[in-house]
Amino acid sequence: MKILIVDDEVPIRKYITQMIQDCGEEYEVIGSVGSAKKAMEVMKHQVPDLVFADITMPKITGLELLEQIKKEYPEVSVFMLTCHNDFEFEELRLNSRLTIIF
Amino acid sequence: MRSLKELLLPKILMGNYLVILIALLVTSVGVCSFLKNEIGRTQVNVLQQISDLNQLNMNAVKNTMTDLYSSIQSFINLNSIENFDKTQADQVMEETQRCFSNMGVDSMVDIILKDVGTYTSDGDLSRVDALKKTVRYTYLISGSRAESWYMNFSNRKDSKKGILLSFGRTILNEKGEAAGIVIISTSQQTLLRSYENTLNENNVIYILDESGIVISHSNPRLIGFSFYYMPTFEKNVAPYNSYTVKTKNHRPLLLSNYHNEENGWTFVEELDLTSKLKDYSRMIIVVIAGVLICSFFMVGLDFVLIDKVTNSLTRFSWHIKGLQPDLSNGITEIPVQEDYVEINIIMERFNKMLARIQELIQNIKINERKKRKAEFDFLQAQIEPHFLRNTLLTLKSLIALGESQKAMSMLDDFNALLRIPMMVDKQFVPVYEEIELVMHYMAIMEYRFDKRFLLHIHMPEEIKHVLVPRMILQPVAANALFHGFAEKEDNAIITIMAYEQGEDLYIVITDNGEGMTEEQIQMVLAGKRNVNSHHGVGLKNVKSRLQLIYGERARLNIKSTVNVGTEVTLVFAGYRSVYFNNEENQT
Repeated sequence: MKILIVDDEVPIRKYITQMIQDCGEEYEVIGSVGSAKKAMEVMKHQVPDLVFADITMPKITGLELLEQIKKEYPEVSVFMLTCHNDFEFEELRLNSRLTIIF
Repeated sequence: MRSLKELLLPKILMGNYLVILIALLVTSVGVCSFLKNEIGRTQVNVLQQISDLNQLNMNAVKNTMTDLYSSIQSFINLNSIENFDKTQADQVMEETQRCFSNMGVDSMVDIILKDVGTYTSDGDLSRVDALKKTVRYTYLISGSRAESWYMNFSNRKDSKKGILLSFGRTILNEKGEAAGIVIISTSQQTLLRSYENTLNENNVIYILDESGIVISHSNPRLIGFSFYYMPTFEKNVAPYNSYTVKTKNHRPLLLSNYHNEENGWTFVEELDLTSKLKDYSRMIIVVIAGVLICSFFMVGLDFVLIDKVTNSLTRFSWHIKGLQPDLSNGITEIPVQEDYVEINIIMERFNKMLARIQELIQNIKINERKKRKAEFDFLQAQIEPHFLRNTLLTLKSLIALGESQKAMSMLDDFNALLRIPMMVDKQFVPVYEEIELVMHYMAIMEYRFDKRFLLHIHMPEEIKHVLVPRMILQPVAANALFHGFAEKEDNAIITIMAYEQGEDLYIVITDNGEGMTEEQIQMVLAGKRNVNSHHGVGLKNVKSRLQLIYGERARLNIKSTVNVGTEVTLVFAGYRSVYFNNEENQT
């Protein structure tokens, strides 16, 4: 399984990468990038099966990235990561058909 | 605008003067009519008395005369007038005199026979001539010529005044011609005696002939006639008519006449008005003086009353006028010392109202302060929970990755940053502490994004310890990091410059990041929060706090050029006094 990680915070990104790699050989991290723009560039070369994306990122947010991925690569699954737990949720629930996992 | 006093006084005075005027008029009319009636009444009374007396006497005289006349007539009938001899005449005389003596009239009877001469009781023929001389002063006073009574006046050459001598009556012969006149002599004293009870010094009786000519007037001392006093009367003067005339020497006289139908005499009474008029004018003067004094007191009373009524109101209005329009500086009560219950009630109510207003103002102040405090506390930038969580997550990641050196260093910075929630009660901190805070914050961010940020500080030594609200610079720095250096990998420089200008402190934070468009600036200033940036409220918060603390002159200006950088200027207007005021408020 090819996995792409998008997060602007470097240590967290690295940590997630390490955690996935620890899970086994079948999980392959094809990229670990800091912005949505870079994520789209990676996806042009290699389409992942799963994307881990942080919601809060400068410039293009995780949600915007999600929309883009759903449009261009509908088969790709996306996990949204956030440490927000307040008002954004309602917005998220309404704007996208996301499944919220606490 | 006129005062109440100015409004009331003229009206009340006018009203009072009107009342006084009416009173004066009524009194004057009353006094006049009273005096007139008084005079008229005296007049009529006197005339009535005269008239009664006169009738009594005159009837007696008339009756006697009638008897006498009959006897003389029979005598004449018996003897032709030619044969009338002295003996017979003496008899008649004796008889006549006896009659008059019985009546108590001191009188003489003359019989004047036509063409024969006068036969008198004393046989004194000399009187005949005298009578013949006076015959032209004999006037018809009553009735027809056949039954006329005559009054006979002598007109002495040595006196201008005539003297009433006698009454007389024509004697007719058989053929109905006037045969002669029987004259009953009377004297002035007799007449006076008849009237002495009625007459006084002020009364004069005029005796008028048929045509209204005054033939005599009487006064206690003199009965006769004087043309000097003669007023001109119209014919047929009605009884009790009064006339006011003026004599030659301008003495005012009141003439009243009474016409006696019985004897055909008209009596005129003359009243000297000089003394009466004196009374009259004296009375008028007394009345006017009284009214004037009354009005004087009335006006005085008006002034006093209006003063009393309006003074309370005036004082009240002055008290109110003296109140400070700025009620916040405490309200002085209006002293309640007025004479009237009504004004006192108004004042007391007013005072209560003032107290209530003051109370309300105090409440509003307290509430406002509380509200401000609450707002301030709210705006007091806190370390945002997601920042804490993100930082902790980063720390965990570092530890998990085995980068313990980095984690420890980051923990130090984090620890320094965590001092902020501990000093909630401290609103102001020195500038250098704020900058240190920014430094710790930036260090943490360096670990989180794996970037290097360079911080330049330009600040004079004396500003280092200037007190500013805590957490006022961190949001600006956060804004620079997120908006300026999101995609910039290296050469990220933030410059903090602080300087004093006049009473204001300026702190300028500059970055050489990507810059913001005008739209982005507006969004940041409006505090529009979206998922893109959880620091959205930061700058708006800073601006609000600046204005809350430093007033309208406080500023947060953003100048930005895309791809060049952003400059955020904070203006702490009048920062020194503001700090001290806030310190006082807190204690």
